[in-house]
Amino acid sequence: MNAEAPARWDPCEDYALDLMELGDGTLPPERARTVRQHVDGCTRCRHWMAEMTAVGSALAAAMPRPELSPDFDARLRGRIGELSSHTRAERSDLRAAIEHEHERMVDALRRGLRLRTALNAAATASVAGGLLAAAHSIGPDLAHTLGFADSTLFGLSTTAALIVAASIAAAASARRWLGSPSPSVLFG
Amino acid sequence: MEAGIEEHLAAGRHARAFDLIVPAFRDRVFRLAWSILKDRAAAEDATQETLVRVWKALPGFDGRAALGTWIYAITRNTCLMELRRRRPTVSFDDPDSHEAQQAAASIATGPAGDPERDNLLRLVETLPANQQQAVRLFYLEDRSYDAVAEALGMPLGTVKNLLFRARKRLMELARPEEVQAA
Repeated sequence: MNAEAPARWDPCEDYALDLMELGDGTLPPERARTVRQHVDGCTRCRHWMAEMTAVGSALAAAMPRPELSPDFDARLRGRIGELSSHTRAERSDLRAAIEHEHERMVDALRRGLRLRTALNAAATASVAGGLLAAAHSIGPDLAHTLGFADSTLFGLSTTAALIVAASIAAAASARRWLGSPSPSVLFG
Repeated sequence: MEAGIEEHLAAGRHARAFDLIVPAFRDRVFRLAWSILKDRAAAEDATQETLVRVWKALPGFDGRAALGTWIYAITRNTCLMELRRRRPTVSFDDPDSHEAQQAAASIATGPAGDPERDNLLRLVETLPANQQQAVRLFYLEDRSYDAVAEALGMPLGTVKNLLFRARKRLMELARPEEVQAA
């Protein structure tokens, strides 16, 4: 077989693609009229178009028309279902891991809070001790200056007021730390 | 159909969109895969793989390309991977080798004992790969240049040129020896 066909078989260059489209029925009507007029007067193009149409018809008849298996959809649904359940399981594992981590963090915060409360109590006791000592040494003079008759009672009252204030501050701090949202609020 | 799919996608209803994508694209994806792989069973596997990939990637589909363009691109990539698996240096632009032509002989699944038909299909196998794909798709897609262009991701003019050169070459090859020698 020759690599190139004889030139006498080739159509006029300006009409080559149009001849194919005319044969395939896709040429716009106005252009189709022009090309038909040319073909009527051109033996070479007429010959070539007849040959291309014959090859096209032979191809259309010869080309296999494969079809999908009847169980294609069922197999696809099976694969998608399998992937979906894997995805759900992965999401569930992820959620469990997040909740576990959240619990661990809350526990750590609670432990930190207990330590903080103990330190607050110790600090409060130190302050109270210091105030008692101060009240004992300067209490009579200060009570006298402020017009209190019993200096010991004045010192005890002042210390008790400071302890109550420190306890309220510690309780407010604990509420703030324990009031963090639960995992269900975060992840639905 | 595609408008309904896009509505579901815009609303984030990916599973419902996928339920519409499968009947709308399944056969077109299969025909494209067959035109590239030239083997029914391999094309069916590639169609399954393509649709699974579409299902996985659907939440990330941003709509910048048309849905069909996106799905056909996934199909072509899936088929190219399959061809590379078979033959590591394969490219869509390479003319088919003798090995590929032998593999393609399996497509002759039509009625037995039709030598003219078998001969014509053998001649198609001698065309460059991109011309073969265009010819197969053209006759599977009811002779629609647009459908071939969309499936192969090529401009319309390129598809027309491929089909023209393919059929011209087949005409030359199909001529009797005495005409060719003239």
